[in-house]
Amino acid sequence: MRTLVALLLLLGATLLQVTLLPRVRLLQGSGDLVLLVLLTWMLQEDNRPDWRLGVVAGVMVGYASALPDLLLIAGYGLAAFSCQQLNKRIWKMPLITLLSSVIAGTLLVHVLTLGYLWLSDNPISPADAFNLIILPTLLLNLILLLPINALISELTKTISPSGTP
Amino acid sequence: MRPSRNNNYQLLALIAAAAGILLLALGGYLSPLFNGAIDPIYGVQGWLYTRFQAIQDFINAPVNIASLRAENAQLRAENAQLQTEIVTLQQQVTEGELLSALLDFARARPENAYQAAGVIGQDPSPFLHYIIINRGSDDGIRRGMPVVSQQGLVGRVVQVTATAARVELITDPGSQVSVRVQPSEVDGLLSGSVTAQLGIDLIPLDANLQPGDLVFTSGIGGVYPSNILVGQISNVRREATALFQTASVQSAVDFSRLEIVLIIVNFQPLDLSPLLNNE
Repeated sequence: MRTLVALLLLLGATLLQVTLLPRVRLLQGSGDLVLLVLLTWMLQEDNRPDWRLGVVAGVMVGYASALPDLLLIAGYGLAAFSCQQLNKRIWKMPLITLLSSVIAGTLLVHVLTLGYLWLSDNPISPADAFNLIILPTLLLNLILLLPINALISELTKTISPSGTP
Repeated sequence: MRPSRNNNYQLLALIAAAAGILLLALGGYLSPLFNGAIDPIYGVQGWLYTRFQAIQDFINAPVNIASLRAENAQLRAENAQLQTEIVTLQQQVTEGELLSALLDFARARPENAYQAAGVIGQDPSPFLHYIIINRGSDDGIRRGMPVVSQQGLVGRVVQVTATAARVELITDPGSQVSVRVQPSEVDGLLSGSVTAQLGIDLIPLDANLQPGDLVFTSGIGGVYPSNILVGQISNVRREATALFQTASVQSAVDFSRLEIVLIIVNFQPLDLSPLLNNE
């Protein structure tokens, strides 16, 4: 049941990411709704973090993006894995774990994309990429993080009231 | 005999009196008298009517409120429906104007065959400037076909599925378009960028470019057909020590409001890769 809900959420987030989010831009950056839904879902108290959900998110985004599927699978998979590790080993404070996971995930996905574009003979100035895309995207992600976390938290409670598995 | 005559006199007197009263009434001389007699009756009638009306309203009020509420709800529903219809019609008008402009564009270039497509999404990565359209190989769309709007060049198809296709916009950092600037007839290579700004590099220093000059596709390289409007020069940068000059180009197409595009389906892009590999 939980997995099914997670997949539906990721699918909905991907659709919004393709249709709505590109229109909400800060400089050249736009929020990464799929990443936010993925990480907030993974870090809910009642959910068990699973990096494989990141792989699924990568496949979904890869279907809609011109970037190679493997790159996005690796990006979102690594973001989910880092979130899992942060949650498990370093901190047990949910909000700080969430914030650091979003920062790490955003940087991972974007640095991998930037590296791919450099290797594919389509270089983008790192300064431009950082100032115009990565930082604005990070800021938008952090702005969107709290409302999305609240929504996912409410949804999780609705699915399993009083913490029933 | 005498009583009979008296009766006749009385009758005549009555007729004369009646005729006199009638004449006085017709002449309006008796109106104050009638009004004085009738006004109290009207007063009583009005008093009775208002009391009766008040009692009737008091008895029928709940029924009226219920019917008024029902009528109000019905009118609200009708109003909402009409508002929806207005919005729908406004959208249809906008779409009709857009299609009309696209039709004008297509009629102006009868040598090309077009397939219209709606924009259904954009690439989720902010590094890339791609759109997704709702026409694919089932509709005759093939890789490499140029995409235009009524304003000018949009890009080219780079990936096709059965029902959808991905279009690389000319603003994408990986996009390069051979262009010709009018009226100076200078050729150049237009490139996109991360910021979606368009620029022409490697323009000879002796070329006389001015802001406002129009930029068209040149057709060189065989990727795009010639003479499609791309935009106009917005800024020219000449540096004394540089070997070439550069120019910024303002695109003719507003990519943020792209809804419907035309794909030129009878254009066959040239595949130069074998020649490039031989080098």
